[in-house]
Amino acid sequence: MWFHPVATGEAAVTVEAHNKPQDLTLWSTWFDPFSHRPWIALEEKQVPYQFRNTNPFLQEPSFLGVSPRGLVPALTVADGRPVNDSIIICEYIEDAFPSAPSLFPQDPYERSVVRTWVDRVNKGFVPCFFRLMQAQPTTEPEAHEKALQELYDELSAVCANWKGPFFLGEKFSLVDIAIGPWAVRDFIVERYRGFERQKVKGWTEWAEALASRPSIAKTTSEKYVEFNQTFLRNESHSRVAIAARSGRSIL
Amino acid sequence: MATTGPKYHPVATGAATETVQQHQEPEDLTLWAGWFCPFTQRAWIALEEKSIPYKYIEVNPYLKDPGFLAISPKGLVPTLTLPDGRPVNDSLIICEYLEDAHPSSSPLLPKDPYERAQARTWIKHINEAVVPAFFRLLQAQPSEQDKQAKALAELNEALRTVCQKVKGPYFFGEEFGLVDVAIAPWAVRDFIVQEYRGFRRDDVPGWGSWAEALESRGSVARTTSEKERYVEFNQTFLKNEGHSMVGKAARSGRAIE
Repeated sequence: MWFHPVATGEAAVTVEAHNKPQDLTLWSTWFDPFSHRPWIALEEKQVPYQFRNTNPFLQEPSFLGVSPRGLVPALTVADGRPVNDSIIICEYIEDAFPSAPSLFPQDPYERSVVRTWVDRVNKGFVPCFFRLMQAQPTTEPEAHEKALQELYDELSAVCANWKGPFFLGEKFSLVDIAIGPWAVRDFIVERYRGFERQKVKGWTEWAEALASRPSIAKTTSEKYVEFNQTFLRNESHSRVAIAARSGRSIL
Repeated sequence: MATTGPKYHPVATGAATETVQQHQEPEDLTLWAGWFCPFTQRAWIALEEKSIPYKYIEVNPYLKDPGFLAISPKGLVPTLTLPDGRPVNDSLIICEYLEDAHPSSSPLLPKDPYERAQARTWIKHINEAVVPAFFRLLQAQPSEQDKQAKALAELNEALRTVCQKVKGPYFFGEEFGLVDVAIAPWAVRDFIVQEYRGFRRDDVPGWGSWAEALESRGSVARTTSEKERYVEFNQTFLKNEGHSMVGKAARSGRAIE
């Protein structure tokens, strides 16, 4: 295998603590930022779950039964029925375990604000991040410059509405979960793509608050760069990369 | 008066006329609407289903009125405003807002968490597969037979997938809900691709009966205008001159944002 097969660092400890069969199974790939989202949600809620690592590029039959399009993450419930899509899984976790901490505010208008910015992170920030990863600074400097500026613009738009320490202020919510995985991955574009945290007002502080949130710290690994080499060389075969390269939003 | 964008009839017609007239008084909620817009119709159906008081204000989004852009930065309809003017944008976010704000009036989402997740899954499919395919078919010109055939096949496939899950008469069976709301405006408009683009309801198992149930639902019928007026509005798509963001997005293959 060309990437480290299992979670490392703090995440390895969390995986070990969740290796027994439970009503809920999170089918995940340890390095995948989308899988990271429901993992954070499960840790926030402190509910029992089994973490099962799968290599999505192998399209293993047992996994395809759970996720027909072969996408991670997937969550299976007690009778084996699956829930797909990272945000829909998080909303399921919220609905199934409404006790504190809640991932949504109580007020209907504030809830619509959360939905609006989760949507914006998904449709704006995330594709921009992937396009920047794939834009080669040496061979395509214009594309790289454009991708970098678009990422700054998108992240700035979200951060302009961040109250601190988390998006809504004191309350950690689904917006933080939606963007959280990238707070522990942006070092990749810092190191290889010229991204600078301080160029986006509020991002450094927000990213640090996210990275030190226990549900995120305990699910973060050490070897993300190794996996991301294919993106960085613009060779990635993953659907997310192919979607980002053709300019489509990630479905 | 100078206009930009497509020429179309400026107000709702047919059954929708009376609904508009009944909602001209100030209320807590204001629906900023385009009578022609399928996304507006989603929010409008939800308001009607839940019998929530609202004021209806007709907007021509192509005029890009600065006052409207202040509450809808992308210039899109629908927008819902609260009494203090705070806006909610995006048709499905508006529907979820109405559901959160009025949970006991005709609930549009199931109580069971797993079923709610299924509802959201199929709403996402409708938004990301069915709706863009519909617009691509609408815009594929008769002179582009290959493109039209491909778009038609994609629409049929996208519809077929969701129709397989319909319990009937509505998505979850007897209870009308948000999955129905999400697709109903296209049940109202598929006559256009039937007449002009070779779409046939019979080509998609389950679509005919679901679409008929949707069209005849009170909240849908009351927010539907005259067929000819929809054709008139859609001339811009039919001639592939689309001025709308939805048309541009569909043409470039992006999901509609």
